[in-house]
Amino acid sequence: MVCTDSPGADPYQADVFWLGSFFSRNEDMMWDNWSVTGFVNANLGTVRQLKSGTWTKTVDIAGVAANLRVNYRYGQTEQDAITLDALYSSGDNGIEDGTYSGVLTGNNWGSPGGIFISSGSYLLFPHGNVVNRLVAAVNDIANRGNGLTGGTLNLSKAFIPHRWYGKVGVASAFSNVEASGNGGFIIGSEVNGMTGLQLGPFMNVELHGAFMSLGDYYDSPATNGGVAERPANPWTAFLVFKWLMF
Amino acid sequence: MKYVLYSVLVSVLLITGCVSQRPTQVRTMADIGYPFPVRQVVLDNDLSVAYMDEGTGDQTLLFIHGLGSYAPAWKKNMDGLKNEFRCIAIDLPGYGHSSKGDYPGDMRFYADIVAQLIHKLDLAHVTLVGHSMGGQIAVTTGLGYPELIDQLVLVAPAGYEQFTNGQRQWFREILTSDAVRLTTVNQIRENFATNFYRFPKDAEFMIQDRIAMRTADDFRWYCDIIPKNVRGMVNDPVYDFLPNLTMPVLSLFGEYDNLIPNRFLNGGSTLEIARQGSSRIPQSVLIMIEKAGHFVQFEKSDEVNAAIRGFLKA
Repeated sequence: MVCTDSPGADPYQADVFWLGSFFSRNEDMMWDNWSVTGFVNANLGTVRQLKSGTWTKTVDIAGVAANLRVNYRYGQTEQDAITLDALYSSGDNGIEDGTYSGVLTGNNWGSPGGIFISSGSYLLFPHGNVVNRLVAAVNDIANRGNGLTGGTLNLSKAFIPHRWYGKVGVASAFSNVEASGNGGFIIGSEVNGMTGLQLGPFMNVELHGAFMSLGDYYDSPATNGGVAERPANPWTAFLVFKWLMF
Repeated sequence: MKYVLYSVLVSVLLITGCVSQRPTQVRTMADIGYPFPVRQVVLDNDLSVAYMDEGTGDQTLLFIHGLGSYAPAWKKNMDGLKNEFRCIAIDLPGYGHSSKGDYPGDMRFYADIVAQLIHKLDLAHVTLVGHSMGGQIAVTTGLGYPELIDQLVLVAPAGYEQFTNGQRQWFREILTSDAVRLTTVNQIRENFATNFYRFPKDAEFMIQDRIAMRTADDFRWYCDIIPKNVRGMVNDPVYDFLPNLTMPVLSLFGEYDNLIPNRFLNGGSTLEIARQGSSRIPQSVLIMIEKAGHFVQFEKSDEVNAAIRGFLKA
């Protein structure tokens, strides 16, 4: 990919390519008790800047993101499961050293990509039922270029098979780079829960709720849009009605 | 950093790209191997029914398989019961080694087949053992030919769960011959796995046979009969007629049956449906088998065999 733009003091060109793969085994958790999915994706390239009329290579890009999700079905249905989801994305705190080891996703250019919507968290990572995916603490796995190490643990249970179900979950994440200006590494931790009823074929009503404790990553004005104080811990509760009609 | 990343990614690509499968192939469905010798009986309408006939005894167990299945699905039950009973497992017409053709595939058609087979083989003291759709066929036979049947053993039978008119219509329309024909290997595997609480390794032969039969010349008739069977089950419901059964009936269910009740249309517990159906039968015994799914006779064959033995000797 070649980008030519002038966002900063000097025009730049970037050649970036992505290489990655995903894998899955027993995604629907029916072959046996264990299900594993994941991906590895890397962005590699260079940035050249126009300085004094000459294009000069200024930054080497090499970032990677990886995910591993392991499910164990302990009961009858796919809703009787324990799910552990781990996510890593490499990070960087600037390009002054001539390298950028963070992750570049489609979000960098305004197209959705790198959103992590199926982890089961609501406030730390975006949730699939929430329309505005930019309200999560980590709305893109690049985490503003700082990268992250995080994960979720969810325990779900079908109280009545294929009719009434619920789950409780926890999520936590750490920035791989300390937030500049009084900030730390801890992005935060979340507890959440959900219960739902299957009213008919592909028709569900669900009540969701979550609370998140923000970490010292939010003590930095660079993280808070210029505000020095850590924001109040967020919570959410919402009711959804889902009906897939076909 | 870059070189490390290149190495890791190339390795991941190689690993994820190297999954291959080479399915077994058969020329006709009759080439699929069975665990016991297969015999054929020709009925009045020139239909040929394949069956495995093992063991001896005063009582005959006549095993009827379910939708999309075949006689070998009973092999563990025949193994476990043949020392006390004569065990006959049939392939329904349209399936396995039996004749194929443009058959109606409804429940009364199969009940007539079962009755004819009992006459042709001159069987006495017959207990029908039907699984899933085979259970509904057994009930239909018991209602239509009560004089031929001593007892019924219904293993996770279709017909205990009720459906609305709209749901029946959905069943009629959802499954087509092409959908059966084009079922992918992964989907075949998942369909079988859904029949079990924990898929046992020794059930793998069912998956391999189902994959292999796709290359058979007569596979198209198998694809044709399955949607007809589904329509037959919803068009000939037996729920209202269960009180008319005159013989003793043993109902067996796996408590973790993911097919009964239908998980998309109704949901709920299997026990609820099992009680609902069996309570309508005058001489009824219900046994729930723990930690078993829809294919309970294979997954928990020892428990099922013991339950059948106890029921027949009571």
